Amino acid sequence: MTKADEKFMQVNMGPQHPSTHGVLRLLVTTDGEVLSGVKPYIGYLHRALEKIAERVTYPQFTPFTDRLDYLASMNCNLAYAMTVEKLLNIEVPRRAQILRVIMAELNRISSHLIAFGSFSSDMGAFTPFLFGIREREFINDLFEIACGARLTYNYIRIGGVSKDIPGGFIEKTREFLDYFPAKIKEYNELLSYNAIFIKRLANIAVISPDDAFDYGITGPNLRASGIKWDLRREEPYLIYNELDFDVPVGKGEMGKTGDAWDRYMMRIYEMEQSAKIVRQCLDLLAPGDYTAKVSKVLKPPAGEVYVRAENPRGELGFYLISDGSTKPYRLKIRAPSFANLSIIPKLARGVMIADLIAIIGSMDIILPEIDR
Amino acid sequence: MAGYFKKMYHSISTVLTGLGVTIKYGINPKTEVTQQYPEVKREPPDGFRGKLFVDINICTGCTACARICPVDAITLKTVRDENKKLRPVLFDIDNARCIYCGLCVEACPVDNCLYFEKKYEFSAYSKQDLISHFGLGEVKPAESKTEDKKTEAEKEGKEAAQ
Amino acid sequence: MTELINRILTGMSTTMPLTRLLITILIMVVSTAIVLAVSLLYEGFATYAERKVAGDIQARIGPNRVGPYGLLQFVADGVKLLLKEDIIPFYADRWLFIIAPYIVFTVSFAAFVPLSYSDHVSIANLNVGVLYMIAISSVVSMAILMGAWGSNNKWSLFGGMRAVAQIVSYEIPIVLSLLAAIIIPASLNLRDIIAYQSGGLGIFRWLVFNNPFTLIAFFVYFIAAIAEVNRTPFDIPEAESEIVAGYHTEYTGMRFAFFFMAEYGDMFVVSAIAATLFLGGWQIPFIGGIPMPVWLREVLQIGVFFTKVFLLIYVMMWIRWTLPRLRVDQLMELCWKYLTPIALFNLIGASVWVLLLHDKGVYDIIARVFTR
Repeated sequence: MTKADEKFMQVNMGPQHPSTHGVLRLLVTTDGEVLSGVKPYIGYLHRALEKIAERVTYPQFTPFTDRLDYLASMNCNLAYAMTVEKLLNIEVPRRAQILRVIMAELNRISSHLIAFGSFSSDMGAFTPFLFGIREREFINDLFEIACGARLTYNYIRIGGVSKDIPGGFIEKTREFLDYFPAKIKEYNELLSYNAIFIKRLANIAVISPDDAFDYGITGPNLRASGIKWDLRREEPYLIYNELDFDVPVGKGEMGKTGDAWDRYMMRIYEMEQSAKIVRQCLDLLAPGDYTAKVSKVLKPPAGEVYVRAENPRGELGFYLISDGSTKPYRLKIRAPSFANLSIIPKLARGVMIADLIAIIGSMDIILPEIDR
Repeated sequence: MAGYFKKMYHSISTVLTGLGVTIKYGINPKTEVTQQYPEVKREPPDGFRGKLFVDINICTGCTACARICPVDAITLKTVRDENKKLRPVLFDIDNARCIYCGLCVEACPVDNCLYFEKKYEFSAYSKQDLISHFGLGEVKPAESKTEDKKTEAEKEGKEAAQ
Repeated sequence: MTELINRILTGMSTTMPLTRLLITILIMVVSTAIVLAVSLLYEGFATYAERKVAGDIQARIGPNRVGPYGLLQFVADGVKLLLKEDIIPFYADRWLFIIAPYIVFTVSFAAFVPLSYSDHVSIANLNVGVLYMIAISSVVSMAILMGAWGSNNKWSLFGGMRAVAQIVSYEIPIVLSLLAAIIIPASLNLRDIIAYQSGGLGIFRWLVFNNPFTLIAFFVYFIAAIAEVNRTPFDIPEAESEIVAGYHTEYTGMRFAFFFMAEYGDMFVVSAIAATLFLGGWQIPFIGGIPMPVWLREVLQIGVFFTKVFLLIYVMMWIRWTLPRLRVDQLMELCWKYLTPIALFNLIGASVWVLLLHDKGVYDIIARVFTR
């Protein structure tokens, strides 16, 4: 420590801190309330998932992808399943594709509900958090009907989905979709357009489009900066090219484009769009196979493949190298939160402690995915 | 100056809107969604992935479940009985290790042999108590030929590879 | 209180000065004990009420396990806190650390003294009641800083510094808005102020309806009072999502409970001041003019007073569970750019009103027009 550093105080925020979203540790250098630097330390939740992938077979790794981003297990399952399918050249039946889209979009809604809720509780309003949880329960119930689990679904498998949806699922989903828009309106009244909330977030931690590209930011955080980039549109997978939905982008409604409020609001808009997608998919659902014929022992040809999908938190990519055996030779996971986290030290310079919480919350990072 | 009052009006009106949302819940007790857990128990839907159960009498001891399990929660030991059929003498499922992914249930070739119960309350005081033992214990062996899980798994793997 | 002692003493046959002194002390101790017991009971129920109100607003139930409707929850909590390990951090400043919660609690308890609960029930009828209340409630900031500094914890220090800045700043709008009300009855004695508000069906001569300026003063006071007692949206000294628990991060068990109870005590005090100065205190609405026995009148008056106070506390809780938290600089902005100037101009307006119309309120003017 030099003489100049003595005017600063170093504070350890995390790994046990109420709003670091898990076990993120931030070494914060402050001058009173104003931060002069933030250094994230990660790895408290490291489970060596990439290494585990090398010792389990291809189908066996699917449950582990549940544990990547546990708030969006379906999307992680989906990305992994698509990776292996691409390697094996499996054609997924249409019904399975539609079911996958339904599940992925429902999970996007539930993930964004948690993002919305935990962000609001970071901002000091606890009630929206519980409202978000309440709506998420509906989706959890739907998933429970479909696959039997409420958090780690392991539903989307290589070749299709694990089982067909039971009767009553479609009706219940429609019920949820009818119920949901009123709740979004309630969230907006309660939180989104609240003057205090806007004042806390507008013009805070503005990410310019250039910065967003430089740091590899993806997902709602990238779109909040005004860049219309959604893999569901740019590289349509499954049946997304048949569906009619908008890609919301940040317009700087309350301040500069790409500020924390824009990032927050992207998630509200995306929930609306996802609900729209699910509704269309329910109409498209026609009888058919729920899974392609996949042999029990998968032996993909030697080769490598990279597949990415639009997760609630951004672009989740799996880079898979196969040596022709039953187990992956190497599996690299490109976690969106990891890239999104990397910009936090840049954003959190010269802001206040309360703003740092707003920045972390608005990036909506999730630690299991970062640490893997 | 006009901006000053406009800002003030905006703040007050949005705060009042928010208060209007919460008071609707505050004065209406019917909005509560809590289930009083020990008194009211949720009935899980069909296909719920609860505790694993094995109908050991129809188990063929094929060890497909033990091989597919990603977390090695199933320990199987089989013995050939007098009819030269494979019987599981040891069939332990460690519920503390199990991640309830359902791969074993799908791998099981026998209908209604290995399946999920709807049971979701099985806390225990020690990790040992969380292991469910389904094994037959002793089987009248024709020949004392035991095959443990690992060798069986390797054999099966080889067969599949061919 | 003094009158009570005098009455008892004049009824006594003894004239021994020592006996008189002892009896005086005894009466004081007993009455203090009664008030302490009542305030502790209130604080216990207030914590219960807070959780129940939060439950209602958040579409949950709230505590309902201990006792009927969970009413005895606070007893269980109190027992738990008493049995908890009393941890004093090794590097803490022991004396400051130990003494701070007692000062905070004593101060919040001492503010109960000049309150006038009914025509005859009050502990001390101070002729500088309002001044005393304002003065005693400022001591809290010192005690909080003692605890925060003594904890030798960086989060505590943040909380302590925030608390002092906030409480000291918000004293100003509080005093200015109270002044706008006080100049009408021209008294600092709480009982005189309440007595002034009699008539007009027990409602229309409340100072809050006296003139437009007192109405504004009431709202300014109430907002500032919420800040004074560190509650959301102004709870930055203990903002759990930013600085863990603020000034009481290191406190456990009963020491923590003292801080906690003091918060609810302060809520009562600021609400009681609002009820006394603006809402007519114990003036019974509508049926106040009907002749009734003294004991019934006293009971009704106490009931009316507490109803008013609890309604204000309910509003505070309602606000807490609705709004997000302000940032520390925005809190100061609210105080210095909005509340203080408004209160200041308001005071000028109220003074002009009094100068022109003496103590005639809107009701008096209307009543005179009608009776003419």
